[in-house]
Amino acid sequence: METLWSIHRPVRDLRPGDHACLFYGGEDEQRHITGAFVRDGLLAQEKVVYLAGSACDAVPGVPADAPAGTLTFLPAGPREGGTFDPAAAVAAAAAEIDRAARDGYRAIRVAADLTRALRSPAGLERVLYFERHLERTVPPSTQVMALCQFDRRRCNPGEPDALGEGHTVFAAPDPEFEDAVLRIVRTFRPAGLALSGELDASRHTVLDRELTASASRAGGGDLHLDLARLDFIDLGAINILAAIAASREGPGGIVLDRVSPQLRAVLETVGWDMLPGLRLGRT
Amino acid sequence: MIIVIRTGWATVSASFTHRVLPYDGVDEFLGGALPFLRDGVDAGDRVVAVTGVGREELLRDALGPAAAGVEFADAATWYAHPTRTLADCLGDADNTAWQGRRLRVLGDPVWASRPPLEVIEWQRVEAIVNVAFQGTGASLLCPYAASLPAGVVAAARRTHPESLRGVRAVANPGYMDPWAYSALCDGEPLPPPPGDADALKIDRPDLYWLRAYVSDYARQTRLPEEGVQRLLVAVTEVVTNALRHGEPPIVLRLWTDASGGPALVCEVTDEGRWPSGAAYGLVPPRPAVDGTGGETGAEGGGRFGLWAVRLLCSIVQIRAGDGGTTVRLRLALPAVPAESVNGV
Repeated sequence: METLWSIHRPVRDLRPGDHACLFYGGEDEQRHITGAFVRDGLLAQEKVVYLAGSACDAVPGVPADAPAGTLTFLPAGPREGGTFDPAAAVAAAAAEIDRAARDGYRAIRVAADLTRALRSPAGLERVLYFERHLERTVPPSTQVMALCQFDRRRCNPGEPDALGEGHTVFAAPDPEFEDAVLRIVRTFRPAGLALSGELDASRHTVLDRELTASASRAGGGDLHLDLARLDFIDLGAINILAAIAASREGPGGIVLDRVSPQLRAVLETVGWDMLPGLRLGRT
Repeated sequence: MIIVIRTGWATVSASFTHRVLPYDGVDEFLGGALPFLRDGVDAGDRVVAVTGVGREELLRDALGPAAAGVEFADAATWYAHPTRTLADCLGDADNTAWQGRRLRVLGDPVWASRPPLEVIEWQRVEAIVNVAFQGTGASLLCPYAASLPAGVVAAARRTHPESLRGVRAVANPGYMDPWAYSALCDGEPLPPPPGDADALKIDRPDLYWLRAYVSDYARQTRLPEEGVQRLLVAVTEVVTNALRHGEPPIVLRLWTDASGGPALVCEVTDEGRWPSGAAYGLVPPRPAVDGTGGETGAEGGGRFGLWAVRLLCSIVQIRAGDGGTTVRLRLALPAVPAESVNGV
């Protein structure tokens, strides 16, 4: 699905005209990514239109003090055993967009969880009809952006490819931290953090903070660090990893995934016996 | 992988011995080495004989069936790097002790082919062993041939508490406190850097640019990519220390040195003084689960800062005195230009 040409963009960088796609692996991932999309919109006084299976699906990311009227929920069905009506969904969304434009909203965010629609009879065909409409209307727009979500666990083989194709961009989580040298992004399957750039004493405090938060989210399970794009790590940061791994309660350690050969050589030189609780994961 | 777990010593004697076996000729060598190895086999120790191929044959013949209880290791491989060899051997000692056994090593280092700077570091390790192996119960016997340079044999008497004469251990009157001996190793002033060394004054805390500068320089030498990464980790650690504890100006210099084994040299100087008793990273720190012991210091790398720097580099020279602090990192360059200079 995620081919070489696919673009991943943090939710905060989505702009009007973006027709984004998200295949989430669990509710935590959906809450994190879609929640940011909804929250950013509401806090910026933008219109948020949320389509989902039924009104009882909670909309993620709604702040307690969200201005009244800025969020509209559209139950896009279908009911249990019923079929998804893409034309009706298109009409309802278009009406909300028109109304919001008339009401003077600067930007309009459409977020749609189409998992239930996809799993209804002739679901893929009907969801693609809906997607084609967004594909025609969103990219030329200077006001509207859309985020279409699907539960990856409930997609059949081939469906993510077919669905992803019509989107301009894949929505990625906002970084937990980012500056010119280091970026830390939360990962979900497996749970942990992806580190990119360079890590030295200037950013030990940030690393410590993010690792502690991530370790507490991981509970007693393993915490995975994706180091594929980490070009440098200093001894102090390695020490922080080891200290946090050692201080964790329960059986979970810290698993270092996709470690470069250079970094691996450094870790082996320091000696794994110095780093109890750390281990290499997938390459 | 070596797992160091410092528990379970109660089952072995904590008495650690480190003896020199001065010998002149094969008979004296066997007269000391054979009983040492046989006693170990009889006692159920883990017995390791580190020696050259010729010596191995000699020992196997003389030991007879007992040779089956001895692990033979090639000296050239085993004595690859002073700090790494110390770390590995100490790990073995701890691990063996944890299994309720004693580690017994006959260590016959290769002295002849080593450049002087390296000889100093091996001699320092001989001294530090007396601190690092305390409590492991290990038994180390180091044969020194009379044919070695007089200075090498004399140094051995300062770094080993006892000599073996026949089967009798006698105290070495010249034995020195290991830290005092180590300080002696750092007594010689360092030769000044060459006039054409690249110099960079470090005045900002973000070391991203410093690493770009160092790796640019290093990639123009024959240092392999893995060595470049080792150097970057080591220099980041040393400069981080200087920024935290030193006094400006902090200056980094880079050059290549052909004397005493070709090496890329990276020097960090500052105007600060190290407090007395500061850690030089000579003794391995204990794993995080332990949390105590080893040298303590305020290195940026936490527990293993300068110790790891020594593991990462070929040789680390530290001069910390009233005139400021100099840390010189040497990374050996391949002696013969590699075929793939251009990365082909």
